[in-house]
Order: sequence, then structure tokens, then C-alpha cells
Amino acid sequence: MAASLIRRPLRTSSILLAVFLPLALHGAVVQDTSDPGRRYLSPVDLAISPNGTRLYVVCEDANLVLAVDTRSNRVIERIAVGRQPKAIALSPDGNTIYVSNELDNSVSEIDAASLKVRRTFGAGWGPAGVAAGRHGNTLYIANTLGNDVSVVEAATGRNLRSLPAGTFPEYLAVSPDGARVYVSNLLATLGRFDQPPVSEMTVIDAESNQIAERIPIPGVIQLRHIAQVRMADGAYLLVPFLRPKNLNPLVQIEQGWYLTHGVAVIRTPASRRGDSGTSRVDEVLLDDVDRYFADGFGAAATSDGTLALVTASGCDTVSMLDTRKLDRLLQAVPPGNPEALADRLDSARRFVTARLATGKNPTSVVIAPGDSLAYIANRMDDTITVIDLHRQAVATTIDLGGPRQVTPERHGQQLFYDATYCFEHQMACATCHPHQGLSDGLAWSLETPELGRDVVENRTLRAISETGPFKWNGNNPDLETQAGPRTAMYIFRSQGFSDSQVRDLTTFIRSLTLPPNPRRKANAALNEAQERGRQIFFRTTTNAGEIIPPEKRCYFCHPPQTHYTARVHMDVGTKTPYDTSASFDIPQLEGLYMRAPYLHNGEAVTLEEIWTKYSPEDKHGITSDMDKVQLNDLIEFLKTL
Amino acid sequence: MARGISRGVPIAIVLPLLVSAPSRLSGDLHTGFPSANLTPALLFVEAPVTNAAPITQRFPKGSRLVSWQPGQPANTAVNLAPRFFAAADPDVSPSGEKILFSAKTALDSPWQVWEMNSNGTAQHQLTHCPDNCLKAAYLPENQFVYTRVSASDRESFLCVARIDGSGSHRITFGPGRFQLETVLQDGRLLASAERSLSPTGGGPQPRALFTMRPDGSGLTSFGDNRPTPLSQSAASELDDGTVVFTQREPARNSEPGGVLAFVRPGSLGVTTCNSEQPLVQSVHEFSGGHVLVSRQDSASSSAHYSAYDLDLSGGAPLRLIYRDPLASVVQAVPLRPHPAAAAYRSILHLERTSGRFICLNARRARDAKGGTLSAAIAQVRVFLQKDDKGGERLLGQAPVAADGSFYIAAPADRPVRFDLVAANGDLVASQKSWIWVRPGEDRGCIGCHEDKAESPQNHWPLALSMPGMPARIGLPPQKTLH
Repeated sequence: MAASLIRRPLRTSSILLAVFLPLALHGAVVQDTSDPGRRYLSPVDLAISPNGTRLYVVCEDANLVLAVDTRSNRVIERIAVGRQPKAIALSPDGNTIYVSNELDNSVSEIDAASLKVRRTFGAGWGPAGVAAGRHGNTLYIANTLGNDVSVVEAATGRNLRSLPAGTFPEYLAVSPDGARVYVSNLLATLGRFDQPPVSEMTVIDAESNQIAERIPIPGVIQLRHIAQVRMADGAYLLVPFLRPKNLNPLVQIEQGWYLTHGVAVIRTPASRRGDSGTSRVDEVLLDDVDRYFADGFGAAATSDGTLALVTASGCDTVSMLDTRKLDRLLQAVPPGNPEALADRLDSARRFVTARLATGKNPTSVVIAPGDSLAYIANRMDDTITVIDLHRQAVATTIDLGGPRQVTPERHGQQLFYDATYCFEHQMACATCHPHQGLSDGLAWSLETPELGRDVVENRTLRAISETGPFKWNGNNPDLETQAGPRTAMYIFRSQGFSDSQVRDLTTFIRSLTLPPNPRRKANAALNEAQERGRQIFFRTTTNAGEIIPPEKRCYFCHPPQTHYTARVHMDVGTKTPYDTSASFDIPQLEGLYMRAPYLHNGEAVTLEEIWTKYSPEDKHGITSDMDKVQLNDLIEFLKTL
Repeated sequence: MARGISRGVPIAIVLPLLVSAPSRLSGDLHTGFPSANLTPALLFVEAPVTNAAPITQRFPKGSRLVSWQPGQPANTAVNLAPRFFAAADPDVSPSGEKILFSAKTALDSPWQVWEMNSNGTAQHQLTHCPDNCLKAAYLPENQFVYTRVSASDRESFLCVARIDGSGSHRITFGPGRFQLETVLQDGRLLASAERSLSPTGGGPQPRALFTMRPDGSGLTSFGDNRPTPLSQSAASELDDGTVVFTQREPARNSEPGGVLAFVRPGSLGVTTCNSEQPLVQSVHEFSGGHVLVSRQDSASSSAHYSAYDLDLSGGAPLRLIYRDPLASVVQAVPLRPHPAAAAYRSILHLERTSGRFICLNARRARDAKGGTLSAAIAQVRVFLQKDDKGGERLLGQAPVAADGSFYIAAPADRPVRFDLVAANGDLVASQKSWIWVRPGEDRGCIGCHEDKAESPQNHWPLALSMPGMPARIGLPPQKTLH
């Protein structure tokens, strides 16, 4: 019973928000973004010093790392780092702080004593998770858009090698003995659009810096932070996930019909003493039968392994897990069936001992040495929730000093991450558009007049403000229609957002941009392959010299003047037996590099498949005359957009 | 006019004995209410006699709707609707400024739904039913829901109307004599209905709780719906989402009260209070884990109920709030603002005459070993309720795919039930209740009476890919898109 009751302490920040929110909603508040000190902080990751006296807070919207004195709970230093810092790690001795800068493709190295940036060195594409090897000699960086892990020599910042990860690797953890590096991947491995997704936990052998194992996690996406839970017989990994039901016709939301939220419990051979077998995966939900704990994000465990914390970022809640009870529950499950409990909505009551209210949009959680306190970063109200682990209660809330005013865009951002507008809190906008508006990479059977038909790929929210109409059928003329009644009726199945909330939400969505594209040089010059691809894109004749009809030229449907979309729908021969219409909205090509899979139902895993597999009659432009080199060149160009 | 309790002027003057003076009652009467300003006024119903059923005859000697400020003398209680023979079922608007209630002018006149200001002024009639309209509750966006009961009490169903009474339309269609219980915070309706398939013309049957959307779609049993002979009613939702209600055994069906029970958030199971305790007739949120209950003063005082403050956690002793030696005090609610239920935006197409059922795996069944029926299922037979005497007729049948899924279209707003049939014609399972689909509704089922703690597998149902689907049952043929 206690597990279902969320304790909500009165917080000063809530009161302030209540005071200033009406002000913001009247549209008079504009954030001064020129001064980092005036920007919203949006804390997303935490690290704590070995002696527990310093908490380091990564603030992605302010390009800052804050140092908090945990004795006074005051911010003692604001350290400017690169753009959109995402994750943090300490060297084993605690003397060096590493912070990934996602938009700069770099890592800032900070001296923990002086709290000054020592240097900044390059990373892969879209670095997020960062971890230091056991001896501090090696740094591991998860590059989200690069789909790889950089292995970096800590002393020099030199990239030793890049290891292919799964899809969109986001967070890392190093095993206590330093032998393994675990990598969680946000998106599923690309596969058939009509089959359940399979995600990957990538395991790196830290000795050889080779991939040791790719552990499939069936039926789930959005693996997030990795907690390592120490047990008597070894240890296991605990990783939050989202379990979508995208293949079912989404005719209702009750009983977890859309999606559920839980944790993967992964026992690797290396984490089990005396075990040389394969990894064992078990999936268990943190949801209850009538209340969902959407968007699991942060995870941490006490040093003795008795207690684990998992944040539900969409529901402003942290769940406290009795790991012994969880272990007993899983011991009763025969091995080899990781999904035996994966659809049970009554498991959490058996091992969740408390649900505590946090600030808005709790992300990362860390546990201080001594296992007395835990700290939770609340992205959407610029606070830290401090949990007393002995009492399993909120001890206090640290105000990090973000702007008090809430602009319409910030309010829209808060709404974007908030699952409480959905029936039983099952999802937020961010649930299907994680990591600032990405597509979740899944095809959904949503709002279809004929059930089972017209299954369509989810689409990105980045850089879409001038690309309407929306939806694959082009039926939604503007974002307000999409985010307003339609979301309430067919997605949230609840009241949804008010008109003013829709305005703020769409303001935020319009602010979402594409990250810098490293395939494009700063001076916009193309390399040779890209230039050849550009010429193919704009060609008017085939290889044989025949005139290509205008409507069969790439740029006819994808004109560069309007973000490479003609903003109409078109039949390009991709209709399947399960599509009602043959005509689909022409997607913009900007940001194509980060949008696999492709086509309206996501059946094209690569760009090349669009032409070589799904356009046999050249209805999707004249491409059948091209050879492999030309297709490669065309792809090289498209990925610069 | 039948003889009832007096009305028309403040209670304390006309019927001084009906409201006990503090000195005649337990000293607990005012304890806990140090300041009237800190405690909301209470609304409650006083009735010399309360009956269990039928609902239209709950108060054969009349009733009145009373407002009283805790901490004030009992004789300050005011009869808010003195012109009625009986008044009951108070529902306070979210603003706390309006009250919906049921009332009738004479013993043999029909109940109607009325609205008034919280001080009893501006009373106006919202329904004008030839039979009975009662047990109403506010819905968001200027609507209300109420229970309509035929004059013979044979039929009872829910209706929704605009707050001015216009646009009334029926939203429940099965047998079972649906009655509104409350509107849940998430916007769904909580109703009770007789769970039996037996004819409704007989005596009261055990009632069970159901949820549905305010447009009548998504009818679902509440809680785990384990078979029980207990009758559930008088349900209310607390601020933390706990649903409290009363349960009584069939042998006590003639009594208006029951044993207090509740379903906590996150749970499907029913927790029942000590059955040796005095019976409870109504229960409502009070504050901080406390509820207002209408409760027998003792287990032996079978017919007489008073208002009590009950700490559900058991931490504080039961406290008497209001007792009238000559009348039972029931349906006590605080008169104060409260959060409005979430609005629901209907996606029905009322111009259509059919709706669809998609079952993901008919073999999933809670009571089967491992949660799955071992027998192969080849067909689903659809029966239509023919009359309220339990008659039914076979409407048609549809194939069940290899994965257990089936997909059918059926007439809207008609009670139907399903039988699962093996390839050799043997009956595998039979549905024990009637359900319906509303016009344009797509009704999903994970299984057939599956475990409600089970979320669906992520699986594309094969039935959606079968030619000729959805199977049109009891509907004229129509060219499909396949």
C-alpha cells in the first residue's frame, strides 16, 4: 500500500513557480539568453566527489557545470563548459571532472580543486555519457549520433579508437572491477518495422577495448542510466526502459495498452562469480495497474546493493526499490524468458517500497558515499531533490538559482516532459520524442480508421516549424492541431492541454533545432563525394542522357528553398497492402542523417534501400540507372543536409 | 400526499427533535471542530426510514437535504429543499457554489434532478423524466450525468445531459440496472450494476462496480472482478485515488448498509473492513485520510444511521459528527470547492450504427492455467440480448485467428456477449456478462476475462490481416477496404 502513495513535500520552488507562472502565461516574460547566468539551467546529470562534500551538476540549457557544497547545499561555483553539456564523470581519484558537450562534439576537462576548465578535447558525434576507466587512464564517451563509443587516452585526450555501439548510445558505466564498460542505447536496433523492437546493452572489454558482448534487450527501447547493484553472488545491472506496444492497434490506453515503463535486470557473466555462461536479462515493470511511472531515466544503487532508486522523469517521482525483494521475485522466473514478467502491472508492488515526489522532470540520481543521501537533478525546475535514504523521504530541495520567471517556451518545455496530462500518466510528448524531440524510431498503429492499416513511422520534432502540414497523410495543417485536440483524443485519452498550454508547447517545439552536422564543413563546402551527390540530386538527365521528367527529379519533391520538402503529399510507390492511401506527405530532408529508418512505415533501414528495395518502378525518382558509387555519393550529399 | 417528514421551514423550528441538541448527544459532537471557519459545512440527508432497494423507494417516509456547519449548534442546520417530499443525492460543484440533487414532491411522484445554489436558493429542475431521474453528478464542460430508472424499477441506465437539462442521451445499454456511483478524478464514471445474467425483473441482485468513459464507451469491471456474491455500492473516490464503497452479503440485501471496503491506488484487490463492525450506508472524502461515513450507531441498531468521522488508517478513534434520534443521517458530503474531474474528449461517431471489437488473444483468461486456455479456439459466437427476461439470440460468428485474435463489427448500443468455440463446435468459454460497443467505438480486449494486471503483448494481431475483417456481425454486408 505504501508503495502507491506518493509523498509530496511542500517546496519553496513550487510556490515560486505558482507565483510566477501566471505572469509567464500572459506572454510578457522573455528570457535573456545572452548571459548564461540568466538562462534556465536544466540539470541533467550529477556526480559526487569521493568524500561526498561536492555535488557537480550538469546544466544542459545553461552550458554550465555547478559545484554544490553538500554541507551547506549552496552553489559555490558555476563553470562554463561547451554547448549542451549532457553527462559527467569523475576520475577515480576525484581530481578531474569530465563533461561531454553534445553540440560541440567535445569533452571539457575540469580541475576539481580549482574548478577551472583545464582543456577541451574532441569527442565523437553528439557525445553524451562519459565514464573514466578504473585506473583513470582511459575515458569512454558515448556518441549518440555517431552510434559509437570513443575510447580516449585521458592524459592526452587522444582518441584511441571508436567502437560501434547500438543505436544512439547515451549512457555508460564502468564495472566496479574496471573490467567492463556498459553502454546503454536509447533507440532500438534497426529491424523490421512490424516486429517488436530489440534494444542493445553494449559491453566493452576494458582490457582489450573491444566489444565483449552485445546483449539484446527484447521488446524495449530507451535504455537510460545504468545502476550497478551489488549482490552476495555478484552484481547485476539495472537499467530503466520503455516498453512500447506500437504493433497493437491503439484503440484504448487502459491496462498499459500504449506502453509501459520498467527496468531491465541484466546479469552478465562477468558480474556473476564463477559464471562463464551468457548474460541473463529479466524485464520487470515499475508501473502499477492504474498509475504509470513514465519515462524512467536515472538509476542508482546503494553501495551495499540493498536499495536502488529509479526516477520517472515524466511523473516527478522516484521509485525506491528493495533489491532483495526484486531479486527474490526474479529468482522465481525460469531463465531464458526475459519477458516472463515484462507485461505484469502488479510486480512493482512487491519490491517498490516508496514512491517519492521530486521536482519537475527528475533525470539523473546519485547516491552519496555512506549511503545516507541521494541527489536527484530536476531538469524542469532547476532544483535538486535530496533524499534521506534511511527514512526514504525527501530531506530537502536545493534551489540551483535558475531564473524565476517562466517564459512561454520554458512552460512549453515543462509540458513536453510532463506525463501527468495523459490518462493514468502513461506518457508525455517526450516519451515518443526522446532526447529533445527525436523520433523513437518505431512505426505505430495509431488513429487509423481501419485497424491494422496505415501504420506509420514516428517523426522527429526537430526543425519542423516550416515543414507543415504534419502527419504522414498531411492531414494536420499546423502544430496546434497536432498538439491540441488530437493529442488529447487519440494519444493521451484525457483532457489534454488547454489552448494556452498548446500555444506554449508549440512554441517550445518550434524552438527545437537540429544539432550541428559534422558532415558539413563550416564554410558549407562539400567534399568530392558530396559534390558528386549534389549533382545527382539536381540532375535532369539519366546516365544515358535521357531527360528526366520534372516530377521524377529529386529536387521537384524536395526543393531546397523549403527545407527540401514540397509540403504536399505524393505517391512514390511505397504503398503496401496495409495502406489505405498511396500518397504520403513528403518529408523534409534536413536532418536526414539522424532519422533512420525511412519511408512512411519505417521499412527502409538505410537510405539506399529507398531506391534499391522500395522503388522498383522508379516511382520514387529516377534512380535505377545509378550504380553503387552514385548511390553512395547521393547518400553522402543527403547526409550533409 | 403520503405522510412524510415536515418541510418548508428550518428544521430546528418545526422539528426540534430531529436535530439533537448538543447536550443530548455525545460530547464528541463538536470535538475536532474548534472553529467553524476551519471546517467546511456539511450536506447530508435525513430520513426517518431508509430502504435498500429499489432506489426509487429508498426513503418511503420522505427525506430532506440539510446543510449544517460543524461547530455550530445542531438547531442551526437548514433544510435546503423544504418543498420536497424527499430530497437526496447531493453532489457539490467543483466551485463549491452549486449543488445537484434528486428530489420528488410526493411519495408517488417521480424523482427528478435539480440544481440549486449552495445556500438553497435558485432551485431549478434539470430533468423532466416521465419515470425517475436521480443520483446525478457534475461532469466537466457544463454537463452532468444521472441515473434514469423506469417507473417499474425494471430498467435503470445512465444518461448525460447539458447542465441546463437539454441534450440528454443514454450512455449505458446492458441489463443490470446501472446506477451512477461517482465521477472519478480521471474523468471516468464509476457505476454499479447487477452482475448477474439472470432476468432483471426479479428482486435485487448483487451489484458490482464498473468504470466507463462519460460517453458510455470502454465499459470495464472495476478492481480485479473476482467472482464474489457480495454486492457493491455507495462508492466514492478519495483525494488520493482510493475508491471506497460498501459490500454486503446476499443475505443482507434487504439492508441499506454494508461493510466498508476500499481499493487503493495501484491495487486491484478489495480490502474489507471488519465485518463485525456496524454497517455503513454511505462514505465520502473528508480530509487527510478521514472519511465521512453514515454508520449504524451500533451493530444492533440496525435501522438507524448517523454521520461519523472515520480515520481509514485506524490511527484516530471514530468520532460522531451528527446524530438525529428520529432520523438516519446519510449521504454526508463536505460543502466546499474541490478539483474538477478531468474532461474527456469523445472520439465516438454517433452518426454510425456500429462499433468494433478487437480482441488481441481470446485464449488469455485469468482463471485458466498459466493464464491461457489450453483449447484451440476456432470461432467466436456473438449473442444479442433479446429481452430483459434473459432471452438472447445468436447474432453471428466470426473466425478466431491462430494467435487468438478476432476482429468484428457489431451493432452499436446493443448488449452482446461472446462464446468461444473450438473447431469441433465444443464450447470453450462463455462470457457471463453483457457488454456493448458505442457508435464508432473501437473496443479493445486483451483477452477474455484476462488478468487485469496484465498488459498486452506487443504483437500485430493476425485477425487484422485476415480477409473480410472486421467480420460484420448482425450488420448488413459492406465492402471492406481489404
